[in-house]
Amino acid sequence: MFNTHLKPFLLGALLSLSWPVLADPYDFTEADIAFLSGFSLEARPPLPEAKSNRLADDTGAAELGQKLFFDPRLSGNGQVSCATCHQPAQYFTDGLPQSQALGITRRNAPSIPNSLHGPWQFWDGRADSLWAQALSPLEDQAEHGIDRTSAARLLVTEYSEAYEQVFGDTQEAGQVAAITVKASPLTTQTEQENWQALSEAEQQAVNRVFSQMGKLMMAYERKLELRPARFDEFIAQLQSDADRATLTDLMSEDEVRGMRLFMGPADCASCHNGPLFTNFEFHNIGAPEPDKTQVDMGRYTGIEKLQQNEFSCVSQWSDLEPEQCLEMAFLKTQGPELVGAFKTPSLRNVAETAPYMQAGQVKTLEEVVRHYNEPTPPFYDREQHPSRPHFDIVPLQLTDTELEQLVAFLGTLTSPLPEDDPWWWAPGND
Amino acid sequence: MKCIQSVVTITLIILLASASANSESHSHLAGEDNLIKTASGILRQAKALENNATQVLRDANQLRQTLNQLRASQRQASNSEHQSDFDQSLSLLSDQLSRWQTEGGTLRRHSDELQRLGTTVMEAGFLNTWSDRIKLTGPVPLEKGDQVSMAHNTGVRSVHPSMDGRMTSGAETEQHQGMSLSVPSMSGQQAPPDLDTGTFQASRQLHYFAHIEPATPAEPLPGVPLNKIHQWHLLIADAEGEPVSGASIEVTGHMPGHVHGLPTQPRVTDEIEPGVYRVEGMKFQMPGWWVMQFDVAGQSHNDTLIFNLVL
Repeated sequence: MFNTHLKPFLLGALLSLSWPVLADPYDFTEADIAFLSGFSLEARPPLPEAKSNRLADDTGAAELGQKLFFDPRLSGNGQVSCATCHQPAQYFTDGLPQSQALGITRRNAPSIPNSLHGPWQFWDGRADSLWAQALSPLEDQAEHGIDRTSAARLLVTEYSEAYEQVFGDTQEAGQVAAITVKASPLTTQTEQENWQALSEAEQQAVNRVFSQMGKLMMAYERKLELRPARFDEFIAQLQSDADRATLTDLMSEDEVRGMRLFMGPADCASCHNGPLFTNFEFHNIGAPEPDKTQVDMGRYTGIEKLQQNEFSCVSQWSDLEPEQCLEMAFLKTQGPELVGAFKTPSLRNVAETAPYMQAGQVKTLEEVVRHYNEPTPPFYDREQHPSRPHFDIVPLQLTDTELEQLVAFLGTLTSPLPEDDPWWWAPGND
Repeated sequence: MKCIQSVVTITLIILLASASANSESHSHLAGEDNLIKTASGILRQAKALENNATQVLRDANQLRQTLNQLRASQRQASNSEHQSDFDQSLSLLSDQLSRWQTEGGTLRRHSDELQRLGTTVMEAGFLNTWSDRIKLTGPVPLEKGDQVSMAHNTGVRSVHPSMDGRMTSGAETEQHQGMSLSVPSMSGQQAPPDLDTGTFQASRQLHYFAHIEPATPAEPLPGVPLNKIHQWHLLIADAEGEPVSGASIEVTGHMPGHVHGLPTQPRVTDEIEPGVYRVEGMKFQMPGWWVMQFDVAGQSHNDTLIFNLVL
């Protein structure tokens, strides 16, 4: 008690003696502004090249992808679309700890507009492209629960005109349309048996159309654009030397102090850096283990799944030759730092995308910053872990007030929902 | 008596040590037509001198301890008859100590000079042998126009509750000149000011001599593109100055002060011409001090090459 009360007082006294600059947190030097500009949406690089999908930037493909994204017929019960768990009004998340569709997923639904940069998809990076990512929930029995043949058939029959506009008159479309059974190498036993009963040419045709579907969805997802948040506007005003009143209108004193903490003493910027507030890498921060009987190994098992992914960059469905898939060719497959490590999530819109961590096991941002302030080392079970997990954070020793300021700052990263952006919302019936 | 005995023993050691150092440092350098081979000879001598220097300085340290003990005994000894013996021995020993210290320092300085000379000759040798291949002689630069993104995990390392200090001192931050913001600290990654960032290096045991450079467009110099997978060339010669062919090479990289290595797993994919290896899958996700290590298994020797980069 004594310590927590005394510390901010002493700290304040010390700082005001040795460092008068902090007397006004709105005073930023040129070097400060240059540093902060690296976090502004303005500094966001163009979308990464996506040569494994030659349609990645095709608007026709994106329009068709948008229809597919919102189509609940792409599910075992006709009620689950991608938008069930990736809801536009919630920044393409669902507000749940673990997503609920046909069943309950193991992990928390990530925000799609934040996922367009960076080489890996999913919390464990088990997909190496947005198109490979988009395919796996379709066949997951806890998610869409549809077999790949039915999904592919829906594309070439229900969207035949749009399909032809994008891909032309393909042989595989006819082959897939002619198959009447539900079949997949991954789903239920009956569907697996049906898959085995298909000819190799039929299987190839289904896989081709299925991969085309992923590529259409990816083209759509690449159209989702974040609007500047208050933080971005604040930086823009700093850059143009705005007066103090303009600045205080954009960010409160607590938020500005929170930003200063974020960049330094709270150590957030070590990993949450750049315009998307992520380094796109994998770390173990010792988030509470959601299920100690079945430990989540994160990147460690993600690597194995990635190498087995039927639709990765090195697969025959990719538009690149295997030797051109450099991330896969030089994949880091070993290292104790992979155990229990998860991808650093972007912090854009973080205040609107609770709950947090890989399984939504932390409910509020207050709890999140509290975890960083007083972290517990990762759960370790000799029986389950291949090696003791790394622990990539250190306790911060911040005061309660400072933690509140940090949370306040995170609120400035919310982009307004783009009401007038037709890409963001379900397509109209035109 | 005991003191005199030890003086004699130690003097013998130093005589032997200097003799071996002299014989090494006077061996001839001329008459080599291959500059890498010459460099190899020079670097071997530099290493021998460094070993000598270490030995001499170690002996000097021992002698200093003996001296201190002796002085303590002198203070305790009440018999004034022995005081003059003590004085004599102490004076002899302390002369010897200062001679050894001077000699150790001189040997070390000569070794450093030879080391520099050897490296210069080696560089010239590489430029002779692979004139069309080598476009970079200074340290490896970052490619121009790269946006310098911030460190991915500065100040972050694997910690454990049992690590004193790291669990209670909060995050490490630093404040750059002209900034009111404090930012994550680069501590443990700041390269020491005298760090050798040369791209021409000899292996630990002096079996191999090598040069690295990014195989990227020379604009004006080949540099490292941040956050992008790219290739390097690794050029290796043996102590005879001959290109080392058919070696099996393991590539690893890390940042000092970090527990994390490279984000990719680079490897040698091709020997473009004898002794010139293509290293693919190189990727650096942040500026700072990187150490690249190549474990070379050649036909007759296994040895390790280390290159420091400050990006």
